[in-house]
Amino acid sequence: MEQNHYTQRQQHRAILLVVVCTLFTSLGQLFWKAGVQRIDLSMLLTVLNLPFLLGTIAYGVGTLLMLFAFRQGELSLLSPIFATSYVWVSLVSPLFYPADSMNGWKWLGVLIILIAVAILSRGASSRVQEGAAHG
Amino acid sequence: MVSVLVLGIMAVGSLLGALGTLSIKKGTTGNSLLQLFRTRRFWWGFFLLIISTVLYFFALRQEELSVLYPLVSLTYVWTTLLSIKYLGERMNGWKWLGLFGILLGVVFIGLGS
Repeated sequence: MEQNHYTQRQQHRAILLVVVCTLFTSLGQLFWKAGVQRIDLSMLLTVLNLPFLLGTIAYGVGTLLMLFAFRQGELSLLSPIFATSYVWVSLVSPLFYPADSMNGWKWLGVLIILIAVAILSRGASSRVQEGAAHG
Repeated sequence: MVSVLVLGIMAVGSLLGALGTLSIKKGTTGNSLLQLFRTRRFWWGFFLLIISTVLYFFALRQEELSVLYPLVSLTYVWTTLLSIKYLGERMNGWKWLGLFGILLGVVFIGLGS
């Protein structure tokens, strides 16, 4: 079994990278949603519409950020933080799709997720430094 | 009531998503970005993530987001358990509490959707 050691600083940077990553993947989703509506199956080139391409680029950037994050943090710490995408989608989607308006449940969920991300950051303990302190 | 079919699709989808993430995470260890794109682990993980996304789309045709969101967040539980077992990661109180908070938050966003 492999064990990776990350410093607290690395883990905090990784958390930030995941938060920015989810911003890009959420934008990607919104662009794709707009892009899919422009696809006409009888004209295959409509797949190459601007929102769809922008969505694909946003997803690509998000994936790269995720990979950089994975290199400097624990998966058990970073994985739940991908839920920040729910925060972005909830907040940004109403700007483009009025039917997706915010409501009490969503605000409560957004608040709880943000608090949970802060709690997770607190859990980014540094085993390397702990080991050094004991040695 | 949520159909057994949707529950099954979501259980399999979230598990495949977690396995895909685990595979990609394993691929990033000790590899540069360019090396990573040549590993089987990365593309296998990528493939699993696509399969899980396709499964979610099928479920989306059958069921409301308010039901699906909490089920999608099962991924975080699977990933945490897989990280403990296959990456040797250690949990602490903050991480468990944070995970629980995330699940709770996703449930509420689902209720409002």
